[in-house]
Amino acid sequence: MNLHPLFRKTLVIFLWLLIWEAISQTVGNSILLVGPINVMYTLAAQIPTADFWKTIFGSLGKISLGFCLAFLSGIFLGILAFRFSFLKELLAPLVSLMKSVPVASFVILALIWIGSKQLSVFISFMVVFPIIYLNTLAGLRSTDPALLEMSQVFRIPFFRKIRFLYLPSLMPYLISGCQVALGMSWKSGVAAEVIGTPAYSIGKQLYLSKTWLDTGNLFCWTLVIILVSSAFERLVLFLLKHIPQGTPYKEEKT
Amino acid sequence: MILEHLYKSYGNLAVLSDCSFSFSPAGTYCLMAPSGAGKTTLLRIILGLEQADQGSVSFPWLSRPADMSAVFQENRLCESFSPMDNLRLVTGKSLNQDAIRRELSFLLPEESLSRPVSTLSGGMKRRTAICRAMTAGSDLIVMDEPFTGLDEDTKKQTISYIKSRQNGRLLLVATHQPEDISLLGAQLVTLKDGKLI
Repeated sequence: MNLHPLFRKTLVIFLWLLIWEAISQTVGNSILLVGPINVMYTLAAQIPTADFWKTIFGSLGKISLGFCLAFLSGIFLGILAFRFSFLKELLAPLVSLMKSVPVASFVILALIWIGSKQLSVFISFMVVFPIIYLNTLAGLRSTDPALLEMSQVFRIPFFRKIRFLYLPSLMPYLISGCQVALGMSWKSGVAAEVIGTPAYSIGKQLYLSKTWLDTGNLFCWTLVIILVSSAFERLVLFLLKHIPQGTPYKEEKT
Repeated sequence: MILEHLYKSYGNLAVLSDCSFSFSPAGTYCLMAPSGAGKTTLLRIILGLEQADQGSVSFPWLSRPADMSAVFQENRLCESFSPMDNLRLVTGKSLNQDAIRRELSFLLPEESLSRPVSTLSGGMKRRTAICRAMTAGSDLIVMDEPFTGLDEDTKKQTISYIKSRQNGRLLLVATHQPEDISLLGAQLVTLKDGKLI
């Protein structure tokens, strides 16, 4: 069958939704498994309410703030650590610790230190920072040493060297690091909210779903997480991929 | 350029041993030696990419550190950039687009000037690297086997371009081809047993 790829994809999703609905009808218990139609009804009922949007923007704001802070400081410290090996050695145990300590331990500690309000900012930061920092270091290290020697002989100025020699090597590492870090920041951020239950957070909604055994609400908010995190991921990757990687002439024209 | 008592060894292998020589500021020199004799090491020391174990390289006629340009054995071009962009990378705004285009046109076909270097032939890349070295403002131009991969006619055309753009600068060319000496009108310098003669 020669169908348009988009149509085929839609058909596959529709088929799975049908299977899901059929299983939920067979089970016949909305606590055990709720069907897609029920989830859509729950979602449709929430969309017009102000609390729904406050909750989404509450989580989005905090998780993306944590991500952005980790992204900027990861790049900044990665560049400094690349330049000064002392700093790299100094940060190594800290980064290693951030990578290996379970998120749940951080969450409990952060609850004691900073309370639940800014918890997801902190956790998102802790998860994203080591990924961006290590990818920045690896990207800078991958710059062709032969080209760097050439730049040394021709005395290419520092900023031109950063722009045209280091940045093209760094970008693929940074994009790949972000692809991992974006998903991780949402998973860990929402998990932290579930434990800390700050007001107007998606994590709190998931926690309430558990308390009231409201599977419809749980599925509804899970769907929201998937949609919002995917939109955020696409936006960040779009921006990263469109950082002008110009050539010396294009640069001059702009 | 004065090389004074240069020594360089890798483990027990002595590459340069009390190597001294005086180059005149506007001279043209062909450096010849068998493969593995230490030509590239000497050029790297002159370019400041490697430290000699002992000795010094100085430019007594300059009151500032010497500006250098080079043609490396492996071209060392940014492969995703065009020849125009590779030249602009080293010249900055000291040369405008028309001037760079004019320079490259002496050695490369017009249609290749804006194509990524990765799509050019080995000979075209070599000529881009040569053009880059000649166009960059420098007191010393070092070339490590610059004519590898060029056919006879292209080589003569390239040498003619190099001579026209030397402009009183010191040119040091490492080569294996004895005919390059006469084509460049150069003085022969031989590296033997770690010494220049």
